[in-house]
Amino acid sequence: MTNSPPASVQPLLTADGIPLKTSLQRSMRRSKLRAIFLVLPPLIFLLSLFIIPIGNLLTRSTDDTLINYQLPLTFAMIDQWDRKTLPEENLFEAIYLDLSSLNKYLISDNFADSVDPNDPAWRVRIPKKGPYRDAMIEIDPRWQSASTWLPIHEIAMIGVNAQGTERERKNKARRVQFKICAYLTPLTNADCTKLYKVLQVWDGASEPDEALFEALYKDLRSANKFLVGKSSTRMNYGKPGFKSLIKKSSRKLKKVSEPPYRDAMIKADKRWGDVAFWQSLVTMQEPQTTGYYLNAVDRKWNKDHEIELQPAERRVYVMLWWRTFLVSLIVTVGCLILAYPVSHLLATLPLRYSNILMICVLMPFWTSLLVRIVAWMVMLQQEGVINDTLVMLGLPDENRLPMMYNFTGTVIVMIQILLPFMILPIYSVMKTIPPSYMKAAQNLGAPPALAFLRVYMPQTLPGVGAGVILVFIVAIGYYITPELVGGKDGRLIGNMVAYHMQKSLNWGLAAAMGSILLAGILLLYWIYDKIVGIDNMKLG
Amino acid sequence: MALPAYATPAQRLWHYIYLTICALVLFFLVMPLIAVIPISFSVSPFLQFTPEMLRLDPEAFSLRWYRMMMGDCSDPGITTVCSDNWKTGAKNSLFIGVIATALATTLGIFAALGLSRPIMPFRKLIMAIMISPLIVPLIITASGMFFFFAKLNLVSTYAGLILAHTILGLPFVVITVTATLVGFDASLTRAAASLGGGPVRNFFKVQMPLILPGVISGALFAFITSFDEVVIVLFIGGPDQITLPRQMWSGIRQEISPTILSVATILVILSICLLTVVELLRRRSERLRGIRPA
Repeated sequence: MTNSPPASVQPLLTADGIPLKTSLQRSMRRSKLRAIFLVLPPLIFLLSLFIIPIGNLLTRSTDDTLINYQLPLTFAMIDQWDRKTLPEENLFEAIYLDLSSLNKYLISDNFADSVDPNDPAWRVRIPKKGPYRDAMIEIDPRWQSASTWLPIHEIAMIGVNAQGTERERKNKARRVQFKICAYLTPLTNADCTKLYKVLQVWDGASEPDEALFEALYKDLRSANKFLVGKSSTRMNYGKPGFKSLIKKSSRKLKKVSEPPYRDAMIKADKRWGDVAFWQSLVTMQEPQTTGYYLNAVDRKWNKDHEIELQPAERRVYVMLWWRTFLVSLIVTVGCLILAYPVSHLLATLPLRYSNILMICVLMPFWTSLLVRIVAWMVMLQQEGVINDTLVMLGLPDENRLPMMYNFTGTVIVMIQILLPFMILPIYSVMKTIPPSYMKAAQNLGAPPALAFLRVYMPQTLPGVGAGVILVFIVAIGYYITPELVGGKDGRLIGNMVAYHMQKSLNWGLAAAMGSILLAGILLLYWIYDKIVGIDNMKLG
Repeated sequence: MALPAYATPAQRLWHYIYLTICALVLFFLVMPLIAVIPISFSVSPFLQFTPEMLRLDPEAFSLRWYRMMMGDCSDPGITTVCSDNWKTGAKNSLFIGVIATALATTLGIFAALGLSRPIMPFRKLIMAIMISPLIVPLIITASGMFFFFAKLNLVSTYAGLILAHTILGLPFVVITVTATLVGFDASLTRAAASLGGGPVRNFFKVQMPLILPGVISGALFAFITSFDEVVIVLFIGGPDQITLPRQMWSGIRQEISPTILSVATILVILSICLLTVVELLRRRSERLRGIRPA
């Protein structure tokens, strides 16, 4: 180092002889690594248990693969149909096979574009009472070799080799039965009990025998019943009446075994002769659908792939979105009107007094949400404190005000619950405005109202903006309060998401509504970040 | 802010109107919570101030709803459902809350320490992810977790609820601890390191005592979030996981008996205690960091 050519500039060295630049870079890198190392555990935790589940939920809003698993042959052939007249025999045959035969599970390649309608395997009939082996091998010869069975055998062995208490082993065995079915079918919650039983005794090497095929047939049959049920629910979203049509005809179709299917199916249920049902099938063909999103705004695809309005009696969601927006707006404005004077008072009072009043603001903030709702029920109900007081003051007893289980109730309770979210940001901004500004304005001749409007209020706007967006974000996703005090006309979009999650089980629609809601909230959040910055978010 | 002596009558009038408005708003905020307290001591099963109570007749007050809350069903006059569920719920809520808080606090401190370091790539994005459980509506979080936890066999388990509540509590710890670290003097850790302390020891001996107020108030927020959480419990909790909010929820949905009001009263008092603790901590933190209260 010391005998370097004198012409070049000597690099700065640290005490241990390393160039300063390198040393600095190294220490910066170490610092960066340390920071990443610290953040990594919570980040992985949140990503894996929060972000991925939410993303997973959102994919459900477009997922329409289930029905493609159910009707592969029909969808492969429906493109040939003119979509105007009643379909020919071949399409009737396709839907008959899709609904009642198990061949689609046995043919190795049968999804979306890879379905070959001309494959003779589709029309191989498995005798109901057996023997099953030959027919199933005719459908797809790969079932003949032990290697096709090996994966499900391995799954079954996990259950057999399970350790632990009696109850734990039973649970494990049950989960394994679900897993076998999930391997063979698109269903995750059908259980393949028979296969599990026979796979236990199979050695995993010898040629699969009739017992295995029988179990496969029976398990697939019950799984198919399950899948038909699920997919007909999905078909019902596309066209009301489909579920009962499928249910009714699948009972009667058991007796049908010979072509022609067209007349037999129309005889079983005359709705098969209605072109409208066939036309709605066309709209379900794609494995990805925008149908749930359209449904969430009262629209749907028609047979010509155009967007049209839902029939009048099914239009509810636009009204609900509108109501949610309206409630959030009223609550936000209400909170702003109530919060502004109080924040001003808190910001201008001497600390001794404002601290005491601050407790009034913070106490509800710290109290359980449900406690506050119960308290409001006591206040607002027909025989509640407010009505009792009004009656005491001379209101006729029969004119008690309905303030619960309606729109009014939701708004009143939400305003009280969200008020602290408005007061705190406005207060913290007002606190920074020196009182001398108002005095100066008045000294220069402005009347108090003008001084307030032109000098004081503009300075409070950052706090107002923060409070407004914060309250609006929280209000728009509200679920508990409207559910408990909202009654029928106080329900919001959050309640509809919960309804479709828990009651109607239309998860696609719930996910679509959730996605729209989330998109709106993220947009508002982005604005909030621009105005306030998330780093400045403070609590209490 | 007192009125100046030279105020005109109109200003004077406006000032009093303004004070009245403020008083009404503050009254609106606390009135329902205060009103619950006396009714919870009522003898009558109706949720209202009976005429006897207004006359302050001692016969009109009793502790029967509190006894019922504790699972003592011997009172012959009670027709509403009486069970041990309140006690079980409180126990479960405490259990889930304490573990979830401990997890959230640990993870949150890591995150805050990392985010407060001078060099942190993608700081903004990571902060946004850390805070996201606070932003996403609970109903969406609950739906997402329901499907995901079902796949992991975590539905209807305590572990599932604890993990979910940890996620909800994490943002609070991150926010409060990050805020405490803003005023943290980095030369203190450097001094400790130059005196020979290892990073772990330095953290516990130097950094931790200084950020402790932020940690505790973040932990309190996380605890109260878990203790008050009902949507996730309704979605992913099983019949065994009765928590206090869940019990209140079903109480409100079926029939509101004054038992709920006695629970509510206790929770209101608890919240006042928590509020006091947090307020004291905040002042202490400001003092420690040398920030004078404004």
